[in-house]
Amino acid sequence: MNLRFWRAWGVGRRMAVITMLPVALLFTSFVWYSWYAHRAQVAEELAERGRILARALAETSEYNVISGNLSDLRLTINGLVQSDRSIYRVDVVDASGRASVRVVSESATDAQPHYYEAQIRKQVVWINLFSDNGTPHVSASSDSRPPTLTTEVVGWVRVTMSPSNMMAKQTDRFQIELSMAALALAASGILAWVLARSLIVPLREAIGSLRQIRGGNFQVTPPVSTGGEIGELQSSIGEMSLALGESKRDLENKVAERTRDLLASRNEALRADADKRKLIQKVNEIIEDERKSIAVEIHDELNASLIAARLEAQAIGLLAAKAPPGAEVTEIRRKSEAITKLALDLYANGRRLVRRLRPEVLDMLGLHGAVEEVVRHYDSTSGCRFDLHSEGDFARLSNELAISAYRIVQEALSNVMKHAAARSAHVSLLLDEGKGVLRIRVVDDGAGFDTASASEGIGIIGMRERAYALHGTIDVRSSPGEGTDVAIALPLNVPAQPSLITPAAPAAAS
Amino acid sequence: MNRILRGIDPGAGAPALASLLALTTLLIVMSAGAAQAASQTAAQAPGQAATQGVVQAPNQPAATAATAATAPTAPAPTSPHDRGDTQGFRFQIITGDESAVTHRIAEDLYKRLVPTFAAFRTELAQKRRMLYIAIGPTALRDALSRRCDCVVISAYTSSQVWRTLTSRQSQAQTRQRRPAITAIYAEPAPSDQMRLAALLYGRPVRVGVLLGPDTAFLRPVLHDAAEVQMYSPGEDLNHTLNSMTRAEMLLALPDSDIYNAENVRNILLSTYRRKQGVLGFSSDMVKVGALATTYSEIEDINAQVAEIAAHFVGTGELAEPQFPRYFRTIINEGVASSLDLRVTDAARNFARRAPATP
Repeated sequence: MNLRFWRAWGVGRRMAVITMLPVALLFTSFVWYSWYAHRAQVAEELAERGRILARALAETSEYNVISGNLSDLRLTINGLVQSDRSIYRVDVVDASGRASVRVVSESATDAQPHYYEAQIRKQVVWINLFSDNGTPHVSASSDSRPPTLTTEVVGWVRVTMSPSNMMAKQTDRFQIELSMAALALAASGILAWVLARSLIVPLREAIGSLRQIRGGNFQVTPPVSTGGEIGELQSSIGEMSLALGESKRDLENKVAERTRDLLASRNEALRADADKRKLIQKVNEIIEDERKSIAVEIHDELNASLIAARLEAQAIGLLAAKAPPGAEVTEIRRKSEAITKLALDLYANGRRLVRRLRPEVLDMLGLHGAVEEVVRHYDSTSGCRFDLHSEGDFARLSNELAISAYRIVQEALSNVMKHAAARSAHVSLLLDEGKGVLRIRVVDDGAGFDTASASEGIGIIGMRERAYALHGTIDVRSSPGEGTDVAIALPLNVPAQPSLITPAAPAAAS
Repeated sequence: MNRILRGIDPGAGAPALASLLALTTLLIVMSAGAAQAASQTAAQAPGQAATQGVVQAPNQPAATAATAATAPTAPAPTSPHDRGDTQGFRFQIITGDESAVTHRIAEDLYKRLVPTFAAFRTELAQKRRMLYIAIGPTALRDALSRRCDCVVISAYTSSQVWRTLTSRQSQAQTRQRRPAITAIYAEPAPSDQMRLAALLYGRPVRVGVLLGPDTAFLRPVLHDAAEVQMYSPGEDLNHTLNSMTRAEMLLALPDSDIYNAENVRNILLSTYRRKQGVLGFSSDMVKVGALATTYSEIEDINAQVAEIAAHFVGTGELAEPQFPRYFRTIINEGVASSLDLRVTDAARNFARRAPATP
């Protein structure tokens, strides 16, 4: 049994129990004791009266029993028995055990199972009766009072008592006591109810007020209906609700203020971000333009000049071939051949430089072809195996996007080459037209690095900047010994400039 | 009493004395001459008495001579009475128990008798005739058992017991010499009681008397004055009492067949219920419920004893047995008022006082 069962009780129940439990205990013990006491009183009183009656009757009936004058005795006892309803029967028994007188009450209904008996003793007055017993016969008073001695028992008086009459009286008294006690119990119950109610009602009001406050209604001011702790609680709840209302207002004001600030900051940041993107785009554009112009210069001027120089050197060789042989001619022919070769090497270098500065392959082969070319180039020039997987039609990609994608792949492969020491690397290009996203993924099985601790290299920062400028995302996953996985998603359509939020609409911000 | 015993020589105590259980004898020996001689030779006696007379006080040590002189063992043939030469008297108080009352009686009596016998102290003890005073029934029996030429005055013995003892004595000693004997009965005189009854009721009153076999001798005395109802032992006493319907009072007389410890309360209750007053025969009886009685103090009886002794010593005549002469009255006022009697001072003061002792 759980001894703390009362913990789940409400205040009213506890109050009722605290008030009623002692009263109920008192009531129970009082009623029990009262009943017991009344019963005991009846028994004691009957016993006492029975003994006294028997004794008194024994004293008075001595003469009648000795003299045999029983009619007188019967009259006397009858008068007594009929006048006292608590006597059931009186028997006078003589010395031989024969019942001399029996008087039964006419009114008493029940009898005790036992009777009270007293001996009828013959009393002898011990005075000098001038017999021949030795002492002088003096008729004057003797010094001492003559003793009265009892000699023999001449009979018995047996009194049987009837408890009903006395019991009825005691029951009446008990009923009065019981009703008084019950009245007191009822009064205590009412008092307990009133007390419990005086606690419950304000507490319920207080709980209701608190619920309202919890629900956000700070305009609750429960009436202070009582004194003491409950009254304090009520007034405290009122004060608390006021204080909470005020603090909420303060808080709201502060939040609004902060929100304004935050929105301003956000707009600032957005503006700065847009500016940054523009700037990066612009820088990339400028870089690309500059590269293009440099490439054009190299292609148109330098390479043309180199071709011209080769042609001149070839012409020198031809001339030398026509000239008479001689050491000088041979030397000239050898030098022209050297120049021709040098011019060819320079031309090849120029072509390579142009290709790097201006991936015309992009213009010619599109993104797929360009990436394929790069992959093939790296695959052929290093110990690492590169392969490419592509899906989608890349022809509709904007030039800007294609160049950024190309550059990103270029940078990623460059990183693989420089840092990964991988055995194989896999490049995938996916054009998800449904979502409008170009996905680039470069995965290698190289050394990897700890993305949490290692600072990003310039290459990754460049990739990030390019993706950022195009509102794309870059995700680099790597851990030491596990290789590196770089995933880039670039939106096909650059989203519109994000709207600036005005502080006048704070709800939208939250 | 021990002091009295100390004065007695055990060797001289006599078989009769020794045979009595717890008997103490107050022995007073007086040298005395014969009564007639005393009166005739009074002129010459003082001279001899002054030299030879012995008055033995009970607490004095010269007991030997006194007891020897009083020894009642003198054989009859040598009795001075037979020789006819007795001169004067001596006395001896015989007691039957050691109670304080007996002691008081004896001491008082001794004081009263000494002057009477002082005149004979010069005579030889053997020549003086013995006068025994027996206090109570036991002492009387003792006195009667002595064979001597002596005189016995019985006191403090009821008429019934006296009569029983003396009749037995007379039968046993018909052929022997008997002491001359007289008595003062212990119970009040019926005539005085009758007068008291009349005083109580303020008129002549019908008095009933119950007489048993031992008190039947009183019937002639009472026949005229009272309604006499005879009772024989074994009868239902209540029945006898019930049959005594005409009497307004019951005169109780000492009779162990009727008034014994078993019956007396019953008798008192029975008479009380019939509104009959009881004239008891002792103060104690009045105290336990009798209406009234005349009674005699020890001094009253002793005065009467002294008077009889003096008369006998003076005249040689022994008075007849008689009822107490001097008496007073005691009334139970509670019983009297219950019986609707208005007790008068005449009844309360009803008495005959003994003359003051010189």
